[in-house]
Amino acid sequence: MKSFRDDLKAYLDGELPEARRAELEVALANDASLREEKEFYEMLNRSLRSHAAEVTTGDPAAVINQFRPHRPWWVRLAPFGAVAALVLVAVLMRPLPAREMDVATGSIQYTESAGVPGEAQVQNQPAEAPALRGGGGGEFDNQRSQGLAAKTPANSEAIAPTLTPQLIRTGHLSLVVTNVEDSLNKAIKIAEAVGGFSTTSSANAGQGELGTASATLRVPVKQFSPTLDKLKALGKVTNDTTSTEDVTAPIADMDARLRVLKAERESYIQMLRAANKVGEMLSIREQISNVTEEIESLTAQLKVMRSQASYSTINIDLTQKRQIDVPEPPKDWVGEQWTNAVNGLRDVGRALGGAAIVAFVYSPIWLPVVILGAWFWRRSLRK
Amino acid sequence: MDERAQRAAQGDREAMAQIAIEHYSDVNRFCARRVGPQVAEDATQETFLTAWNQMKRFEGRSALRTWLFGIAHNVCRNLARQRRVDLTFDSAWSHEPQTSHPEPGLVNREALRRAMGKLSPEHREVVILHELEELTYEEAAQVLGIPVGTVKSRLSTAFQNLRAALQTEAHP
Repeated sequence: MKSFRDDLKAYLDGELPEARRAELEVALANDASLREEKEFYEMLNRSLRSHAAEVTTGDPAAVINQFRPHRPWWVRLAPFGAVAALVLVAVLMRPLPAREMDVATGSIQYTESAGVPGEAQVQNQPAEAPALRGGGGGEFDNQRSQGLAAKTPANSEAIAPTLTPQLIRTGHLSLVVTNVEDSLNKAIKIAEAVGGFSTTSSANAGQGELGTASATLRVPVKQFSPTLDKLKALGKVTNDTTSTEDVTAPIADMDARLRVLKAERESYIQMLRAANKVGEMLSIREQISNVTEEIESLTAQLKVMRSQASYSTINIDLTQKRQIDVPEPPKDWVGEQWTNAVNGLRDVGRALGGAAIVAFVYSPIWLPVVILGAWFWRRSLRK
Repeated sequence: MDERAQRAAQGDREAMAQIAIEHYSDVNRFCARRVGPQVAEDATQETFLTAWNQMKRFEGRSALRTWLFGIAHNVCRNLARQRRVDLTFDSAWSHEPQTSHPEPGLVNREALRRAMGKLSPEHREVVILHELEELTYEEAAQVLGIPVGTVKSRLSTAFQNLRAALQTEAHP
């Protein structure tokens, strides 16, 4: 039979059968030490519950989300994908210029390829392009944004696309002038007078030779031809070449790519806000970083290209006009022969020295062979 | 048998999510008192995943909460072994600074903690399950996978040992 002490805890917890409970209550009434033990247990019960740690439970979202009806990743990302696709379609549907160069006149015709053929045509003389006055970039964007609207025949005339060509014009001019330094200063002043500037300039006074100078001038694209004419007046033209590079399409391409990349970055940012796993967040952050890097690179390239299209470049070379016919110095025949002979001797010496060096370097190979050969030869002679 | 448990056993994820919502706090607290709050998050997640995978084995002979505690008990034991967490149940006790004069009618917390530390792990376990988690003897027996009589005797022995330890400390 178990002692009452063994059942005391079960009694306090109400886990004893009725009969045993009655027996224990009788024992409690008669046994003071058992009562004391019962009271101690009660105090222990209270103390255990009182001193138990208050545990703050964590966030159940991670556990609960495991069991929420599973949606594949492509379903969860579908809204962002749809937005990105819409942006891409909008960019691709924009009319891009179909370029035709009229070789005879030097003019360029731009036809809206996405519209009705021939519906909107703009003919521009590159040097006279009016939109280039303000740099052209922002205006160009606005015109592109109107492209979709221009597709419908009803409003095509109202909003006729005035697509501005983006041209990089470069001129090379060689002049013979009476005073190189004066002419260089005048050339720079001519460029500055039309709102241009000089990026590099150098002058060489010449030691017994003719003086030369060169400069690279940047002038507003509209002022390219007038400036060139004024520069030609500085002296006698010995070389005059100009080249024109049309960067309308590359700029349009880069612009479109930039828009797509920005839309892509926006989608990634939305995805980042929706992500709830650390791994997923890190992956998206990496993508955002990559896209941002690409955007910055493309923006810098666009800036350079638009700057080149806004200012034309003129490279100018100046040469001093020959003032006096300088007589040729008399030839020194003896001196020349002496020099040739000394040079010949020097070449022979160099060749011999080179051979000696090679022989010395390869001596570990040929020297033992020679020594061995000599030894055999002398031995054969003794016999 | 719990209707949600039946649906979860048939593969209904939403039913399992409902079970997780209802029992998350209890299971998380149960784990935190064994392996500490840091490991408790992982233990809780592991408990519900195991429950989801074994839901077909749940026959409804015990309460769902008790069944989950049984899984959590094993998960905590395994995690403690893997991560070398000491199962001294130190996390079960409040670490709030105690005033020099304990509340009247209560045992000094530090003394109680030391006395608990002298119990064997098996005895400590039944004390925690019954006194802190407030499980009945039968529920504690189901969680530990031992007979009810064993729970009863372990609890009685644990209290006798606690009393002896506290009296020795008070009157060395």
